[in-house]
Amino acid sequence: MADRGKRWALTAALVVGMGVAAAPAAFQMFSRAPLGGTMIDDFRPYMSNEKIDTFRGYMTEIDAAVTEADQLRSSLVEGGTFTADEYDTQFFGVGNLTNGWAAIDADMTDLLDRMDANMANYAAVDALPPFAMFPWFFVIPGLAIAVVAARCLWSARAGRAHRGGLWALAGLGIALVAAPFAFQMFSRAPMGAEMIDDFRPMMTRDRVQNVQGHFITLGGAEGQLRVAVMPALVESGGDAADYPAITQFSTDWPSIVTEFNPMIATMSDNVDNFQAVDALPSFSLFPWFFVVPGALVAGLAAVSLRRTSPPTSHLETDSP
Amino acid sequence: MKATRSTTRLLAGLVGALALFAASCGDDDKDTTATTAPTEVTSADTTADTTAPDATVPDTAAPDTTMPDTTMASNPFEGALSGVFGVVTGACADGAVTGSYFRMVQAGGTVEAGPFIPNGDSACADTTYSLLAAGTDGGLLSGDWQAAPEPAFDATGNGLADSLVAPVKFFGVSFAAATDPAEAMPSITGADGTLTGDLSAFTAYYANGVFNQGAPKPDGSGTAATGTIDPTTGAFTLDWTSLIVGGSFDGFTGVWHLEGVFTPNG
Repeated sequence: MADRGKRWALTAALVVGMGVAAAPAAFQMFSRAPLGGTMIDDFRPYMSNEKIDTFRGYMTEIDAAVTEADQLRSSLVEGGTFTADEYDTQFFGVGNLTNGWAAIDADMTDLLDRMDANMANYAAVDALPPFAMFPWFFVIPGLAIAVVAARCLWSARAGRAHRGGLWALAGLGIALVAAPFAFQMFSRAPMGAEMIDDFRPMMTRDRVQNVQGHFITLGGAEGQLRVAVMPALVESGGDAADYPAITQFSTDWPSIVTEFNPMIATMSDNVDNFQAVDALPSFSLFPWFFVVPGALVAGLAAVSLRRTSPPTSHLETDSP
Repeated sequence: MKATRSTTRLLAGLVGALALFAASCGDDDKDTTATTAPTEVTSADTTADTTAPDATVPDTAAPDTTMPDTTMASNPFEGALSGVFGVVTGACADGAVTGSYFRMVQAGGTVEAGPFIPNGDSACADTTYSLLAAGTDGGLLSGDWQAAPEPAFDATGNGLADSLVAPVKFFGVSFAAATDPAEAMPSITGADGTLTGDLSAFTAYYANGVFNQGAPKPDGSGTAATGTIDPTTGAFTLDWTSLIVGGSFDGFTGVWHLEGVFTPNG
């Protein structure tokens, strides 16, 4: 009866080990986890307060230029340089910006807010072991548990002593329980889950295309302001110095494009990577994927150890 | 017996020569301008389409009409073309665009219907056209690469490659074009006044971003560049479109139109 119970416990440990080893395949972690790693790497240059502050500075600068662009239109129309219709037809790009700026500003600010708010979450996830290694954190201990449990079962069936194997099994279970604590997964994984939740609305193809569209609007307006509207102002006797925000916008525009361009590229290139990570089980659950099977294996090993006589008493029984 | 054989051979030779003479005086309606084409022979000419204008011109001195004529003049604008597709600078006048240009279709649009991105820096009334001018090599090299310099960008993200076309201001930042030596060597073939080419290495450099603008794409998707070439003058047009995959312009499509005169190597 005791042997039967022990064998049952070892069989259960074997199944748990195989389950842990198979989990990455079941969750497609071998393909998805490295994509998550790529995403974390790609976002690294933008997940800093300095970078976000730079972007926010550009948004403030554009906001001021848009305000001046409205004033400039009024000035040129009231001064008779253009009729309102002429201005709006000729400089439709500027109109697209002044009319659409509120929505662009809200959308871009939302992106920056999400990135800003997740700075600590990103740092926590970035501090985890490399994503590409994640599947192996399951496969290696899972296989080790399965192999040790199978050996113990084999020995039990053959009637050989296997207390060493049971202790090894208990140790593997305890190590599995300890791993999330060692990697601070209980604090970091939920932060990763929070970041995934926060990034979900911005990491879609539609959202990326919206942002691409914002830059077409911005670029079109900047070009018309620089190439046509400001020269028309000067030609009509106006002074470009009266519109310092527009001048600043045009001066900084190449930098704005060059700085935002790779960030948009990063968003665009990581939409699929994000979706792969998002398809994994919630980050918050990950520590428990170690703790629960680890505790089970340690418990089953303990049960088996209790039902196995110590070697000394075994020898004593066998002695004449 | 010997006399009969000699007579037969002589007669056969006469008939053959007459046939060739008649053929040479006949009306070749395929391309009468071919006889005025340059007579330079390139290695590619041996593989030229036999329907090409010069290939039909027989050599009356040839002793055997069944043998290929390796001495005949060939068209340097036929077969695999190796040389410079000289770019004629784009221009806008009276609402018409001439010469070489670039346009970009927004994501979700089509080449036929747009919408095209307006470039505030365009010199045209229709700002969706960005005009191109020849680079230091005079244009696009076929049979060789024109690699981007290292670094490919200046401090503000302007593309620096200038051998193929001169950098063009686009949204305040200059884009440059080059052919990437990591991809297939640019090759263009002429046949019957039409051009087809593998420009999979064609690459645009803009705002610190690198965008393949090849036709077909390096993975073989998309369609090849196509165009026309005047078999007499080498005046050509070359058109292709290329979907941008990845990066900040993901889903956008570049539309390229080059025109000018092809100058073969040598």
